[in-house]
Amino acid sequence: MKIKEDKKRFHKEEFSIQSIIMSVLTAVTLVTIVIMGFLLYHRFRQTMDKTAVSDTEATVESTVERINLAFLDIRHIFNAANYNVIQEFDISSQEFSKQFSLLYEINSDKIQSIALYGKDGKLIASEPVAMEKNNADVTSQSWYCNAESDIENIQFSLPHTQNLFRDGSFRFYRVISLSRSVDINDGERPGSGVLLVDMKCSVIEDVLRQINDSSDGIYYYVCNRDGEMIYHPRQSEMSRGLFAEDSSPASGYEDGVYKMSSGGTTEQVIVGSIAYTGWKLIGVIPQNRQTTSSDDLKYYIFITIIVLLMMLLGGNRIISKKISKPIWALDESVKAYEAGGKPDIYIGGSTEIRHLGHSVQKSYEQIEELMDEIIRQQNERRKSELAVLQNQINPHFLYNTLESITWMVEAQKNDEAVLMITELAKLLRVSLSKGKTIIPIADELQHSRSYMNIQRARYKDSFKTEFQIDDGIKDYCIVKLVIQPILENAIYYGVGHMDEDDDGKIIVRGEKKGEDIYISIEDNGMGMPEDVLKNLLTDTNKVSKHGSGVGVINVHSRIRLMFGEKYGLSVESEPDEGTRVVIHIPAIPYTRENAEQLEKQPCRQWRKEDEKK
Amino acid sequence: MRKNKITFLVMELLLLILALFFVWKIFNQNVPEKRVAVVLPEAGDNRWDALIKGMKQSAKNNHIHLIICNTDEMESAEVEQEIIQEQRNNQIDAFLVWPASGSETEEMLKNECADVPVILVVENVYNGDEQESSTFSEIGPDYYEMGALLARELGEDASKIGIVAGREESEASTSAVRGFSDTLEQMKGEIAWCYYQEEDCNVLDEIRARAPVDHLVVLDSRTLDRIGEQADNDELKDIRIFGIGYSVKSIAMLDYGKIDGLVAPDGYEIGYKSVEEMAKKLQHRFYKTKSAKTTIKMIRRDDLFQDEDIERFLYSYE
Repeated sequence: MKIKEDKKRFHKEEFSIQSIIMSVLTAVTLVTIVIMGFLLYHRFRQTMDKTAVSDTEATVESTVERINLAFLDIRHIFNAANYNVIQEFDISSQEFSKQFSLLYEINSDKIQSIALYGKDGKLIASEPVAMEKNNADVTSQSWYCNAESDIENIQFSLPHTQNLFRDGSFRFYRVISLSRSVDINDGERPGSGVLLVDMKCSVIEDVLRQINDSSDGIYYYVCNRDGEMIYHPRQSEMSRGLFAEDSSPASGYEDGVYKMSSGGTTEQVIVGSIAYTGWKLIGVIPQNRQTTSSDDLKYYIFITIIVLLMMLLGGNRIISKKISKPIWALDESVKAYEAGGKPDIYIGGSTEIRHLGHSVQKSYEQIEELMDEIIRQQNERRKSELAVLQNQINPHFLYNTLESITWMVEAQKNDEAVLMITELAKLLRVSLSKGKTIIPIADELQHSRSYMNIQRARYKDSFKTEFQIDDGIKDYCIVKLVIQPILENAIYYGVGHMDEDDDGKIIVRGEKKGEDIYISIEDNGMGMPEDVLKNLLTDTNKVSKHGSGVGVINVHSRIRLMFGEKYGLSVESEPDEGTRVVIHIPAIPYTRENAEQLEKQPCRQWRKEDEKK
Repeated sequence: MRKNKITFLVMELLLLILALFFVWKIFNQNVPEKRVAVVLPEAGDNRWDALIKGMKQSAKNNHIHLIICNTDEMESAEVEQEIIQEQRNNQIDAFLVWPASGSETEEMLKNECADVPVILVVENVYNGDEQESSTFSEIGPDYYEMGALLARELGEDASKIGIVAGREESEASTSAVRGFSDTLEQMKGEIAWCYYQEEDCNVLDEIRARAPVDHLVVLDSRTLDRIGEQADNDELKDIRIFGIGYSVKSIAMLDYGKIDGLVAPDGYEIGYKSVEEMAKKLQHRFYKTKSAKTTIKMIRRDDLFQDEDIERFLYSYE
């Protein structure tokens, strides 16, 4: 229910044309720029990834080459020791020791030690000369066993801590052992033994450390075919469970570039094979690798998008303003017109808007003309209505009064007949008023007195009449013949049927309150029932059965037609108590101009113009 | 119209702020790394090799700039105070400190490092009361457990045992002696004497001056290395030597048969975890650093080249 209301409210909300144009243009611009930025970044990222892969490939290739060279060097040293020293010289000869020592001295930067063991694992010769550890059983060490089991080839061990000699500096050395079963000349007796060349692990580790230190998020490690880790830049962390690297999938790959899933992310691995050992050098490019250049690019793209957006927003605003301003100006002038003003309709902007402005202007001019015509016609109609209402008085009243005079003459009541005729003459003078509708209150009161004198004569003074009029109101305007119908009503419905003893009385009061004049006609007759009172001023179909035939409603309508809706009659009545009718009119001084103005058009129209002025 | 204008200006302003933020990001990428000073006694000594290696690796991972203070022996809190004061003038963001022996060290550290984070490494500060814990976080081995391990290694046949511990006002020494004594007590071994080293003393003279023993337990790494070197001397020839050692030299002496049993803390782990913890503190100002006990290893001569764990352990020292 609430959602529906919210939707309705949303639909009811109004947006200016500029907001709509601006929003649409901004949305389109934003989407376009963001898509372009994303594509640009994606393209650059792809290029960077490709570059990273090719760089890593090159690094792997060159590193494999360097390691292969290092191994080749060691093999040469090994072969030199075997073929040029051991097989050339008697192991007990001085020359053997000299050559053995010389070989070590020349290559001491690469090799940790060089040693020759007999069949039983007994040390025959070693360089540098060092004390053999008493707990080091060489025959149980892997390099010795490998040499014994495969006598034809040089065996490469995995990197391990050398366990052969005592070192005066109390240190351990990590070495890669090259071992092979060799033939020995021991005097006259040929024999065999195992030649061991311990290569310094640092020869390889330095190369790998170097490439790892200079890489930007990419790292390299070495493992054997079984996935056993040989070198990793974070090997110490791995052995403590502080870092994990699953080398087993990559160790099975041939040389090339592969994509691998690791810990929920995809990484690219570049595999290179190291000669003689079957080890694999693996370069890893993590997917989430953050490099300085990619960060820079990201920020540059963001800045470009924002600056473009700022500029386009400015452009959009200018465009939307250019389009919407004439529409807005036209709308404002139409609104001003609707509010009652008479501004010039805006005509400007593009051809379409100018055309629209012209059309609206023309429409309003036509409406103005039509309105003036309608008002003129309405005034005419009102005037004719008023005239019709006034004209209803004369025939009825004249008929009744003349009938009364006839009756008086027949009854030889000549004085009374004369009085009646005199009062009738006064009454008719006021009634005619040279055809005017607006007369001074003094004339209207004279008319009322004459009427009451005629009626009292007719009713044989069965009731009394009293006029309590402020002198100050006599020179104000009033619609003629408005008091007389009320008095007529008061007689016929109030005091007319009362006996002389009942003290029937009609009091006419007139006073000015503020800008208004109130004339009340009060009788102490039988009053009116509530339902009659209720319909008295609203039932337009009611026709008076008595008197002049002009009902109270007639008077009420005339006053309202002349002076406006807020004026007219108000009636108060209580059964058996009496009735009080109040005539409420504006206090307009009676002058020729005012009277003519009122005659010309009803007062409300006249007042409206005054207010506008 | 006015509302539109205000919306437009607000949007432009926001975008400008955003653009300036990214410009700042571009020029602010080379934020200097946080500087962490490491205060160790005789920082160049090879007993700290694994520890410093671990620290360096962790510093690399966490983008921390480590400054290993060039120090000699740190006999007292005053000497350590001087080093710390010197480093305070060197715009240091945090300290990793090996606390000097003595009960005044804790107070000194509180005063000197009131506004910079400090983590104690290798051992805790000595406060004389074993129940009362230090206010600083400590990353190091459990010395009580190391003492207990040695006692268990000696077994029930150890009859006359002499103990050479470090400084008496050292948390590490007292804990190790306590761990050793408590465990040996359950095994009905007999401690003939226990000697806490003093400044400028000759340990061998002190041993000679005391009753002969057949087992010597050395609970201080530096002293173990010294005694190990002298193991072939007459007065130590028939004594089996056990001890706590951090250095590769201690392991080599075990290998050469100069000592008979060794308990070694994992220096690499101490270094790695201490820097990692400090990095967390430096990244999040309100992070509360935590203490951690690191791995300890009982190394026997026979296992030295058989056990792959020890092989890997040795790798950290190179």
